[in-house]
Amino acid sequence: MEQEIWTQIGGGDQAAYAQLYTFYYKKLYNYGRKFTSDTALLEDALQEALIAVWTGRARLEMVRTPHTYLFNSFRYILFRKIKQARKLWQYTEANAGEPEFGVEHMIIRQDMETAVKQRLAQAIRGLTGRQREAVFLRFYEGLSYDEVAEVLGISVKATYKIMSRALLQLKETLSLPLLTVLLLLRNLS
Amino acid sequence: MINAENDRKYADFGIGEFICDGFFQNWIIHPDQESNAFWEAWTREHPEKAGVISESRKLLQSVHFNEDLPGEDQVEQSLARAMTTIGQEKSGESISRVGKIGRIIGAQGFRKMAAIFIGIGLCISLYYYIHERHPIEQVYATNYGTLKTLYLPDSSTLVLNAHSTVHFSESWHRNRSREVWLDGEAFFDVRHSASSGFLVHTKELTVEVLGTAFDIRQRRGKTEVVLQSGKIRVQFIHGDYSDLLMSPGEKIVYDPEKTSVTRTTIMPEHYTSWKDKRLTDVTVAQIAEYLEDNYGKRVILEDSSMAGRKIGGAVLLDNLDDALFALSTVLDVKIIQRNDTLILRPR
Repeated sequence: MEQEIWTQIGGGDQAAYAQLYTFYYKKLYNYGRKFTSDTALLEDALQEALIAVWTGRARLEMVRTPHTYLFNSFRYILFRKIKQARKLWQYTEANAGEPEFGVEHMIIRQDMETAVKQRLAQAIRGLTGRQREAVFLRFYEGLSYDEVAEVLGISVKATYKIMSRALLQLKETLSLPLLTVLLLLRNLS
Repeated sequence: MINAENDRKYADFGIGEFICDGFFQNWIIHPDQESNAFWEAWTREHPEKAGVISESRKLLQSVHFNEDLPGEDQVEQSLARAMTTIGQEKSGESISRVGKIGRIIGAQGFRKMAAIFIGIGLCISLYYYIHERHPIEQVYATNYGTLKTLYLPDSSTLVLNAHSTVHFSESWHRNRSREVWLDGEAFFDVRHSASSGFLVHTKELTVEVLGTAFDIRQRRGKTEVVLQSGKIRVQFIHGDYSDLLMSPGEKIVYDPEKTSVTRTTIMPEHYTSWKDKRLTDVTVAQIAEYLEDNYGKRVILEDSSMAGRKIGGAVLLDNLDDALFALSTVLDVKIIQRNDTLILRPR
């Protein structure tokens, strides 16, 4: 979304707001679904985050990066609602931590070799929810490291760390066949 | 960002360093002309790193995410709800400010709002219309005997066979079909995208990519499509033929002269082995056609019964002279070259 539309909303333009609403509703819905399958809860969180854009429009011009700001505030609202719902249903401490980016949402390209695919799938299961989320924001949403840090509410340095750990873990799966070959060669000689 | 220091830095990089490098990642995430050019040039200068680069690309491209998008009516309902909430806030404001007069002109105001709404919508569509109408076209062509690997704006790859031309727009819109026009032969490895389709147009047909790797060969008046993996839909320009959904390993041949479409099952790896500069499991006639199509040679078989003979194994095409020498040994023929004509004479 261009900077201009935020300026228009800041000036009270409802048409611009409707356009922005539609755009971000889809984007944030897709993001939120990675944490919960409760679509009613998701709708509430989306309404709250997006209506806050309108009610806070007078302050919009002070927000330097509205795109990541909205991701971050939606994430905050969503997490709060998920935690509230858990409390309501008296979930045990197994569900006590931060909501997690579901492992089933990260997938492998269809045309990969079956063996490689299986190993990658296994590596993905070994990632933390936070790692999967960082990879999603960087590679699916196309955010920069600075922006990912802003959405997650952590430092850029920590973001680099999370991301490189995740990627190197995936890379390990590729070096396996080479390793096997080397071992075989050693056994032969 | 692109400078000598960067250039040197990458010379020592392995897969692990590349995949964690922000600048390299940007190429995979938002490939554009500049980054394509940089990495193409860099790989040319460091050919020993080509494998590492391609593995790193592959790894970063292998990871995808489910797309869970809401239905259009769900978005509309939510928007209506939000607009009602906002409207309440808004009318509360106006009543306190302008009192009763505000309520009287309410209906008029609404009409005005709607007009502005439509006006903005028109401006936006006009903007896109103008912009989309004049994209800059990239044109690539190969000479006889040369192959070229191209990165498309979405970082899909295309191997253009000899004596072929493609053109496509310099930048692709995220939510629109990615389109490529081809004359000749090319092998496509298409990056998956849930939001935009991928179309390859030839004179006679259009291939819509639903999955991934395939070959289009438009030679000798015929157009052949071979699917290696994934799923594609072929739409014929000629209205009499309905669309065909192809499965991996299938080959279709469209012959406008005979107005026929044939569909067979083949080994796609053999068919597309040209992109690795080799021909696999081919007959002498097929080699002859290949040399004519891709090297601009005219091939004459003095013993025409030779045409159907199959060559076991692969014919390497790295170097034409070596290939011809190998051919002469295998077939036990003498190959006489006269300008662009090759005569195969039994010994």
